[in-house]
Amino acid sequence: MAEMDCNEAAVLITALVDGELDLDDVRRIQAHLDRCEDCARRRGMEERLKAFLHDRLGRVSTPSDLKARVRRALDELEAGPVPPGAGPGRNPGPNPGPGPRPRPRPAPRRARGSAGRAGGGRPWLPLAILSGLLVAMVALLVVMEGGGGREPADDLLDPLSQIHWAATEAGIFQVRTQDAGELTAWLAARTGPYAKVPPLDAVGLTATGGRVVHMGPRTLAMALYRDYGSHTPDVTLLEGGADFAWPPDAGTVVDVNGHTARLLRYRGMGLSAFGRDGVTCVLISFRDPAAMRELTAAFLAALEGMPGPGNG
Amino acid sequence: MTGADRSKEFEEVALVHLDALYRTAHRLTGRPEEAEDLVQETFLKAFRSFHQFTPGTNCRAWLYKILRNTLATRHEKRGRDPVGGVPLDDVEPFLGAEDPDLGLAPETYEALLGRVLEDDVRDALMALPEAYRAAVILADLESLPYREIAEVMDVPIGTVMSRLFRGRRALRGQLLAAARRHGIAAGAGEG
Repeated sequence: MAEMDCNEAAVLITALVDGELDLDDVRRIQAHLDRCEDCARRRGMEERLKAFLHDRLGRVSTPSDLKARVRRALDELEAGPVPPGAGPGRNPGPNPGPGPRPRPRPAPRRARGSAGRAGGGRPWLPLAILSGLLVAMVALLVVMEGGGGREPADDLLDPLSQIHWAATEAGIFQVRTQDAGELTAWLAARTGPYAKVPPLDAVGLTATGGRVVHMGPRTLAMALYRDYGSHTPDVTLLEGGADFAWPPDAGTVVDVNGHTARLLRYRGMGLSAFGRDGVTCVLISFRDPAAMRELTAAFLAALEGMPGPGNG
Repeated sequence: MTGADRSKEFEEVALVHLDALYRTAHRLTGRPEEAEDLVQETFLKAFRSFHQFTPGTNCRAWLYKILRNTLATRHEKRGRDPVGGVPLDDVEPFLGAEDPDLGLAPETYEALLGRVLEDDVRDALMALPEAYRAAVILADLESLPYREIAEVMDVPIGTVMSRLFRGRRALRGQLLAAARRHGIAAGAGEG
């Protein structure tokens, strides 16, 4: 591998502080930074500057009446003539005709089988955590629904997908890549923290998708899901354990069987975030906060009960 | 879909981003009143073309794109700083080694940043060509990934990176210069 010079490093440092480098480049730049004091200092300055700008540029408050004014303008627009292009027949997009746009749905990324787009890497995620989490998800469905007459998945899994979609759409999660290769590399570099989660491939649960998402200036996160019947459960793992910076007023912090979890509502949907083995897991559901606690407990119990290196 | 349904969905999917849009518009224009107009116009345009928005994609990024296009049209009409015009972008090579601020001790750097005032931030940002300013705002304020910034700005990802590299370097130079002036005015050396 060619030796990196400072000019190349300068450029890569920009992408490094933005969390945009792939694993190979991270390794290359790291090797250079270990040897070059100037570039290491530049990296520190760039990181600091990015955080500084994020903070200072954000010090802007929206005028209190702006939303009302925009709403009024929208109402007026709607009361007027039909906007050009909004009528039937102009819309060849995913929404057939003038009918309602579909409800928030699991984004196109969820295409099943091999029909997926953009790096729709299918059964490729090798990591144990994935299977563990998914088994736990299935287990908690049983726990929560108690084997009732209805198909439990209908009540839970599809909403999970929708919530994740909504959270992504709202900018809580930002998809950084759907490239299978990058995800695999990302995972491979992090087998340490995940090593305690037992492999459950034997149970027949394998990953069908996943992605790295970019959260805030530097934090990486990962969403994992697997088709279950006609549904797709979502679980998100955030690197950095409990350090993840939620919005200041986000939810309440509770104790669930000795684990600290943050329960929050987002647009009518429930999220539960808790740390385990050095990562933060986020469960997403339509359940209310009380049920999110139950869901979290079931999830943790399912993980505890699994055989594997974590408990063996 | 009834008008009420459409409005309700627009409210839930698009209008929730009003704060982010205003913040971005404010930083892009440096003028609160213009930012308000811009945001309002952006939402009206977005509402008209809401049927073109693809559910499952980032609505905020879609709105930024409309906002920036709206700004470009306004600037064109008024003959101002063209949106997206980038001098030197493909000419000047990446050169970092001559950056004089790299010699600063971390404590000095920190102390200088601490002296930066709100007006300095605004002035430094507004001194950047719009294309650089927009890249920095979308990356550092709005935390968009390169791929989405590239989509909003309609440029390749490599160009996003180059604009961030240069934009931040220029910003840093301006901010530190302003901080040094304050230090001198206050009779305090930076050590």
